[in-house]
Amino acid sequence: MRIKREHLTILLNRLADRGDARFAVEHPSDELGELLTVDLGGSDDATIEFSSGVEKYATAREEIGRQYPERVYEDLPAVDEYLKAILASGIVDIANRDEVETFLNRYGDPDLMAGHPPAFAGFDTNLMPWRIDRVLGLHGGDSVGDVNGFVLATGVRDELTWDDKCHDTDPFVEAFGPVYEEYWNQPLGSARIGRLGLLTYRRIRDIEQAVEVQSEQGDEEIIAAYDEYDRDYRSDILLFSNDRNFVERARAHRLLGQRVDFPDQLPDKTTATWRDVELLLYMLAIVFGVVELPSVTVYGVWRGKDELDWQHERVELDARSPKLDEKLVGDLSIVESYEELKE
Amino acid sequence: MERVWITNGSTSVAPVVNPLAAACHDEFVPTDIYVLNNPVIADVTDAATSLMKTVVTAHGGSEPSITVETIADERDFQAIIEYLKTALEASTDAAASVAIDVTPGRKFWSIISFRAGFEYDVDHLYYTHVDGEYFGESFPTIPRPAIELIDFTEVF
Repeated sequence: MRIKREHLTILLNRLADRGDARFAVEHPSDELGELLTVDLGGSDDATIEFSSGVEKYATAREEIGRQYPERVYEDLPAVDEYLKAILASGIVDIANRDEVETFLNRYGDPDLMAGHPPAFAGFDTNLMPWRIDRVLGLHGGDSVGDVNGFVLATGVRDELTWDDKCHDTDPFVEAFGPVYEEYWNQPLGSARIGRLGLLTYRRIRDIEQAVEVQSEQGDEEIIAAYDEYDRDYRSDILLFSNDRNFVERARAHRLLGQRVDFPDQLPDKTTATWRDVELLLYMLAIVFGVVELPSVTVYGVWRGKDELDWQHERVELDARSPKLDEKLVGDLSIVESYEELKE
Repeated sequence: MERVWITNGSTSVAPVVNPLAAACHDEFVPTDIYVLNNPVIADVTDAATSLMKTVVTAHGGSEPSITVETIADERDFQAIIEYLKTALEASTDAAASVAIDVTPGRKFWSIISFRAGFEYDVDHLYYTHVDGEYFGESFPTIPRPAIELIDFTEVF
């Protein structure tokens, strides 16, 4: 069954009912196996344990690379991508939070009544897949350093748009088993990450009503477009990137550039809300393509996944127990009817 | 055996339907449902009763028979009492197992049905407690630890 990311608590509830409130999230391969463990606990204090750590992941991935050097290996997220997927779910933080906070305290939340120019956030391509607007906490409320809005250069969008589809599932099935037949005609590895970036881009553009400025691809063109907007509309653009060169180029344009550092390690364990766990499962399903939980296989991509599935952040659940399947189908029918009535 | 669910309408769907979903999850799947309604909340009651059918059938029950009692004046206490009496006496005649849900609706509706629940010695007298941050969500998407179905026949 196809299910929206924000409804994954249906699955968590049913796992808890079955006595699986503590469960491992695993990659289908024996080599990678357990990625992390979730202990659901209370609704606000689930515990996520990363007993495997990044080194073990890196070693196992390299081992797979020796056996299946091309498509299969390239499809597996690199260590930094695995870490960024976890970061995007909000349960581990960026590495230079203090520095970013200082920057936002200084340049965010301008006094518009005193005639100060509004502050708009803009992003480099490398941050977009990781829900960066949320991770940085730019969305108002009570946090300091709010921005007044967002500016998006179309060059960023275009840099996130490429396709690398699976036209031959055999190497995947041979390497990791029959669940990978679902890969047929679906985006592979980095193309899935690009899709995540596009989703963030569209969400910011459509829901936050960001200003979109036209640009070509490439750092210089993207920065130039932000700069032009900054000058034309007397605003301050706070430009975030993971790339040092990009930030320096932005500063050379007298834009306010700030580097965002990703973590390079995982804690042994951390706490999360169930909402974070939903997001974590979704991110892992997308970057790995498929992950396994007790009695359930979660597909980030599957044969026939379409644009609407991407837009609604749907995953496909395959309950390997008919009893569980029946319960999930029933729950989903309630939730979907409820949402239709609310509209 | 028949199982009767007696409840109140509300200004939103979730507090009407979530207790039913929680009870079904605890294996009280009704055959008959009574809902107290007034013209101001009639649209919500329509939506809620439709969803109640989905909830019951999703839990393996047959589509329940639903009786909506609309009172013109929400403070017509006699009419409220009459509504409860009718439902409870029909349940007694049918030797049904009865649950009253006091979660949704105006507070005085709940108070009256709470009293009636004890007077008629119903099998379950339910109240559903939800952590505030999950208000307005439907039962299957509320983390289990954040929603509790309290049966007051077991509290007293």
